[in-house]
Amino acid sequence: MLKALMRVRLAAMRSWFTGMSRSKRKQTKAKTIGFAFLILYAAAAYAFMFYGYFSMISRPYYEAGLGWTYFSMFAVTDFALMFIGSIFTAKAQLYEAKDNELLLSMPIPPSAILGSRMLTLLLINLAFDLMMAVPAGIAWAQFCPVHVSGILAFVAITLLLPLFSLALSVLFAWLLSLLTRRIRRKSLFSTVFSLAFLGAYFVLVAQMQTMITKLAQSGTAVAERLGGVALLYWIGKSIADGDLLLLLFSAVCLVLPFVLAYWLISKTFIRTVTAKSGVAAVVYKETMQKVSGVSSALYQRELRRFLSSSAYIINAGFGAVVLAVGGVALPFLNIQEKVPLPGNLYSPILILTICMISGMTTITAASVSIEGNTLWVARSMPVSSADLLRAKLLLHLSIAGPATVIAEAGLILALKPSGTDLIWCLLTPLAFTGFTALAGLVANLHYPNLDWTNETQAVKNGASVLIALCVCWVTVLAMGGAGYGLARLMPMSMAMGIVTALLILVCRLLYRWILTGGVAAYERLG
Amino acid sequence: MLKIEHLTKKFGNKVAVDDLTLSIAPGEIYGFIGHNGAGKTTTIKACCGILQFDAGEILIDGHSIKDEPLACKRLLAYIPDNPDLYDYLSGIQYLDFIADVYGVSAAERKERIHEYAEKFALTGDLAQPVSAYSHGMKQKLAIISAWLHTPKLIVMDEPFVGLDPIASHQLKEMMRTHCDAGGSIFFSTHVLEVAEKLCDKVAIIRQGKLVVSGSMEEVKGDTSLEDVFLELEGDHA
Repeated sequence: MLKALMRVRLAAMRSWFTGMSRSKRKQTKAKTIGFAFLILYAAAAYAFMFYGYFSMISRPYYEAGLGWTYFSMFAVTDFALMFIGSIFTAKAQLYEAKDNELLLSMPIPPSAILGSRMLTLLLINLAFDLMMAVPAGIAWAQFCPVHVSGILAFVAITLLLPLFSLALSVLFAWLLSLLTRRIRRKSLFSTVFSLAFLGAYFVLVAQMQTMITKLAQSGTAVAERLGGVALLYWIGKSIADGDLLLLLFSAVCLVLPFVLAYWLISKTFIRTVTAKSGVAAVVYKETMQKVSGVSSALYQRELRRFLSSSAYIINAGFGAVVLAVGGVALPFLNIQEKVPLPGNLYSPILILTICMISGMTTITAASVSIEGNTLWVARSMPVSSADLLRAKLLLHLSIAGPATVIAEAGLILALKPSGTDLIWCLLTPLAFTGFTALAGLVANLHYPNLDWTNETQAVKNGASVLIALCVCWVTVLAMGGAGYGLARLMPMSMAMGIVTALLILVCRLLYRWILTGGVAAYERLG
Repeated sequence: MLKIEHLTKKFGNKVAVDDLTLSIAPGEIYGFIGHNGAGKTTTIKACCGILQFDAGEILIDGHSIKDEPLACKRLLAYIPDNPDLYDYLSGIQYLDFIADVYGVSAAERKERIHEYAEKFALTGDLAQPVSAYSHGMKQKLAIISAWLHTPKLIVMDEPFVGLDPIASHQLKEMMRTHCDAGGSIFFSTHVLEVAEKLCDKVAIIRQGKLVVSGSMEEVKGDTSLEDVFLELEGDHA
C-alpha cells in the first residue's frame, strides 16, 4: 500500500516539477538532463557556501580540543535549515492536499496516507541535510584526523537528523493548521507568521559569517553553552570521539520525537483534514456592485489570487519584501565605511545587488501554473490571451516595482550619486524588475504545471520558478561581467549605460515573444 | 447560431473527433449524447475556443471561432463538466468579475444576480468564499454566471450533475425560457430521459464520429431515446 502511494507521490513530484502532465508531451532526455543539472547546480551553490563556513572553523576547533562542538554546531545549523525548509511544505502536503479526501475514501489506512506524505517530506529534508552534511564532513576530514567509528557516527547522525527535524516541522504545521482554521484572514496571518519566520532565518544566514568568525575565536565559550544541552553534547561527542554509546543515546533522542509525532498526527489526521472552518459564515446583503473595466477586472483577479495565498506571497514576493526592507535600512548601514571599495564601484555593485534581490521575486514565474483547473474560466472569456498575460505582468510590476523604487531611494540616500550615476541608479534596477517579470512569465509559459495538488507545488517547486531564479541571477552575473569588461575601455557610468540599454533591448524581445509565441503557448494549454 | 463543419481534433495519433458536422438554429435546445470518451467534451471545448482543433470550422452566429475568437466568446457562455471556479473569490466577487468582463451594467447585474440567486436559493451564500461551496453550489454559481451576461448561445457539459432536484427543475425552465427568447443551447448529458423531454434536437456521437442527428422525433421514432442509443451502441460493439 505504502509503495503504491509513494509511487503516486514521486510521480506527482516529477510531473509538478517538469510540468509535463498537462502538456501530454513526453519528456525528452535533454530536458531531463537539463532539470537534473539545474537542481545539482542549486544544491552545489549551497553546498559550497556551507563548505566556506565549516572550513573556517574545523581546524581551530580541532586544535582547541573542541571537535564535539564543531559537530554540535553542524547539528544545530543542519536542523535549522531542514526545519525552515520544510515547515510550510509540511503544512501544504499534509493538511491542504487536494487529494486528501479522495484517498481517505479509499480502503487505505490513514497511517499509510500520512506515511507516504511524511516519506516524501523526509526525502526533501534529506536533500537539505546532505547539502550541509557533505561539506561539513569534507571540511572536517580535510583538516582533522578521522576514524572509522567517528565516520559511522557522522553517517548515522546525518541520516537521523532529518527524522528529528521532520517531527518538529509536522507538529508545527499541525498547530499552524489548527490555528488558521479559526481565523478569517488566514492568508494575512500565515503571511505575517511566515515573514517573521523567514526574517529570522535570513538574519541568521546574513549574520553567519560574523558568527562563525566569532565562534572560531571563542570555541571554549561555545562549548560551555552547547555542553549544557545534553543531546547536542552527545551528538558532537559521538562523532568527534567515535563514542558509540553516546551515538545510541543520540539516536534514541532523535528517533523518539519522530515516532511520537507520527503517532499523534496519525491519530488526529482525519479530524484535522476534514474539519470545517471554525469561522462563522458571512451572510450576503444585496448592494449595488462597483463596475470595473476589463483590464481592471483582470488585474484585480490576479491581485486577489496573489493576496489569497500566503504560500504565493512568501515564495513569489519575497524578493520584493527584502528590497523594501533593505531599501529602508540601506541609508543607515554606512556601507562606504564598512566595505572599502574604489569610489566608482559602490553604485554598480549596489545596483547589481538590488537586481539580484529583485530576481527573487517570481510572481510571473508561477502565475500561469497557479491558475490550475480554473484555466477554463479565462480561456472561455471574451478577453485576448495577450490581455490576460499583460495582467500577470502588471501584477508583478505593481508589487516588485514600488519595492525596487524604495531600494533605489535607499541607494541614492546612501551613496548620493550625481549625474549619469543617478540615472543608472534609477533606471537599471527598474529595467531589471521588468526583465524579472518577463523572464518569469516566459519560463512559466514554457513549463506550466496546472495539475498541482497543493499550490506550494506551483509557487515554490515548479521548474519555471527555479529556471526564472537561475536566469535572473545568471543575467546579473553577465551584467556585472560585461560592465567590468567595458569599464576597462570607457568610464564606468558609460559602461553601465550600455549594460542597461542591452537589458532594455532584451526586455523588448521577451515582451514581443510573449505577445506572439507566449500567447500561442498559453492557448495551447486548453 | 452554431455551425460545426467537418470538425477534426487529434491528440497525438488518437482521433478524438472525426469529421463532425452539426448545426444548431436559434431557439433550439440541442442534446449531445455519447459514451464516456466519445468526444463530447472535446467538441464542446472546441466550440468555446478553449481547445484548438486540427481541421474543420466552427461558426457562432456567423463568426469563426478560429478567426474571431473574441467575437464568438462574447456571444456564448460555457459551463464545464466540473465547475472549478476561483476559490479565492466570494460568490458575489466571482459574479462581479464575470459581469465586468462581459460589460454588464451595475443595475442589470444587480437585477439578474438577484433573480437567479433567488431561483437557486444561493443569495445568502454569495458572500462566502467559493472554496466553502459544495459541488452543487459551485454548479449553481457557474450557471448564474453563464446567464448573467445574456449570451445568445449557452454550451454546457453535463450541467445537471451535482444539482438537487429543485435546482435541476429551475435549470430546465431557464433553458426553455432562454430558447423561447431566441437563444440556443448545446449541452451534453448522460441522462437520456432529460434529453428526451427537454431537447428539440439531438446528436449521438461514438468514437468521435457522428452516428445520428436530427429532431427528437426523427431520431427516436416510436421508441425511446435510450432504446435508440443502446441499439446504436450495440450495432457498433
